[in-house]
Amino acid sequence: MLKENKLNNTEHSPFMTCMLESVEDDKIKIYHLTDRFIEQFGHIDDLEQIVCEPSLDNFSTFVKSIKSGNEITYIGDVKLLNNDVEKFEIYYNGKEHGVESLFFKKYISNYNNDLQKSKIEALGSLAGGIAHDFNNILSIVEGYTNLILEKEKKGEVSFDDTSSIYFEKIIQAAKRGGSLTRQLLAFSRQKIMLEQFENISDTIIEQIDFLKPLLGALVVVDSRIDYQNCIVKTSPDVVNQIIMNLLVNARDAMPTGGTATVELSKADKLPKKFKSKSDTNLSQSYALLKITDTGTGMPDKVKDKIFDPFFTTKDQGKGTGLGLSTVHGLISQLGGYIDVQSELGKGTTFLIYLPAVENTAADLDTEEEISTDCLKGKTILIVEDEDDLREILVSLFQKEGMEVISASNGNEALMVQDDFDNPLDFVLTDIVMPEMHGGLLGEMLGALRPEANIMYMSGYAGRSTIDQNEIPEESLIFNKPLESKKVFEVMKKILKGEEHGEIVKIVNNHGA
Amino acid sequence: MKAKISQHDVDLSKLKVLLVEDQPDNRALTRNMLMEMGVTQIFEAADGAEGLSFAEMAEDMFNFIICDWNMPNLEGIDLLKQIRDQNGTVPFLMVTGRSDMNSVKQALDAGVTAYIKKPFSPVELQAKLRIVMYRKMLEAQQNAIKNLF
Repeated sequence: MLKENKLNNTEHSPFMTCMLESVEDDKIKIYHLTDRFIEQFGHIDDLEQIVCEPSLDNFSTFVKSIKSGNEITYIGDVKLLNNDVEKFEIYYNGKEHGVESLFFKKYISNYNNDLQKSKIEALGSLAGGIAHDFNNILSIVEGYTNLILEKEKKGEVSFDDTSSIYFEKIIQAAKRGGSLTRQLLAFSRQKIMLEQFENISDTIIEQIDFLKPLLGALVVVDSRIDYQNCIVKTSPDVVNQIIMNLLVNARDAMPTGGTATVELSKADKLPKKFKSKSDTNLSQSYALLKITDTGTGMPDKVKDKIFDPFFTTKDQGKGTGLGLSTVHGLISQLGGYIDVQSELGKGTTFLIYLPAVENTAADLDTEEEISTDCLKGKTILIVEDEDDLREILVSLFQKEGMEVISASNGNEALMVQDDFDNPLDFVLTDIVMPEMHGGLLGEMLGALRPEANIMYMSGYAGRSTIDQNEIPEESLIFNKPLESKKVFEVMKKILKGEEHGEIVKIVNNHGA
Repeated sequence: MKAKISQHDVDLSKLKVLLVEDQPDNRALTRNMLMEMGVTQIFEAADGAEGLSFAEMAEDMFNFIICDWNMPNLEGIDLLKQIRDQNGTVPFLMVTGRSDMNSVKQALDAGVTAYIKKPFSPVELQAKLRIVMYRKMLEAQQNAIKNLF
């Protein structure tokens, strides 16, 4: 029992460490073994006792490098206390650091291996496919819960306080599930992006509040927002995702607790190394988002790789190795940069530079001002094959005072609009449907109803699906689960003829 | 990821079209559009009279008529009237440049199934065909249910 507890306490730390005593006769003497080290390898004082093939060339190279005080990593089989043999990465941090240490970590054998990569790609497209159905389910959960809550608001039903909280929790969980699927979408290289101006000063504070329970009692989160009303051109949830990933990593780097600090300030200037990378507009101002932890820190070797996809120092099954590479990809998409500073034993700081938009306060205000009434009396055709989801969507738009017609497949949609004698202002159609594809339907409706604004919704992550089926380039595509507020906003803008900056693009990010 | 059997799709390859159009270029254009969307059985008539005699002689050969309005010998509207007079229920898609209320009403009174304005794009034509076929499919399903009782 005691042993189990000990294991649990240390399992977050990816490394087992020991100090280097000396190198004598090509034998590496070590001392000051940590509990976890002893549990794995036993009390040893010479590395040769556990290295399976010390006669190999690369081990002697390792020894030579240690002798000369240069940092190096050795990868090879190591005997464990229980006589198992496992491949380990042994990293020597070099003389420079004062205390010379060896860091042991289970070698995740093939994260660079093509086979592994293609497996993960296959998994990715499978996950993308599941995300499609999963998103629909989440939309239904969220939609019905909202309907219940609305009934309560109207006084049609009544709950005690705890029940209302439970419903809120359901909605929160559905939203979180939705953002997880969006993360899958973001990673699978095909990105559906609704560009909008967002006040990230507010977003950051809200997201920290949201994440606090997730981070556990041992982690104190400090926030310092020196840059109020910082406006960034982004897409919903992107900033949330960045903060979530980095804070969760911070937590994992502090298994015994510590402080995570989130700071937002104006960046004085962009670091030189980023400037040279591209023709950055010199007058562009940047916001600096700093996320610091007081955790274990990282050796340079690890630091160099953290943004690589599938690289993880977390135990197998714990980390996907996608978190930081997703963060990196997202930040690049926003036109920003990320840097990392880390010192072993002291902690890690991520520095994120995001292009800030100036003088958009007015833009944001007008967004608020658009009257909620202007959708009233407008007409919309909704095409969605999932019955429950379609019903939710219908009642959603009806609540805005719109006249709604709906269909469960493309052919029915064509028929329904044919029977509909009034002008059709909007069409909102799913893209991936069992019968006619949303793209073809959109094209047909565009021909039959030139007055209609055609909008698509998709929860499907597979890149090929969208590429092959020709959704016109500048189409409006909303991610599922649908955020009704956003959809209404876009529709209102269309009605006001203010489409600029709100066009949804399909971005094929080949770099991520 | 769904293995749903498609019950709502329209199979355009099952269409057997009688295309009545006096302008050879227009006829070829429509024929090509049909072939592009997977329709393989297309019969052509160069004017209303030819269309009518084909319809009378070989009514089993086609299940859809696409017909121009303005033609020598027999106008599209008159072809439509004759077919309906003989209790023909075959779907009739009228192709025309006329979109005034009067013409539309006249065609509706004569029993037109659908109406497409010239010039039309392939997707527009496909949409019109799908609408008509989908309605027929629903009707057939409803009749099948009725016949069960």
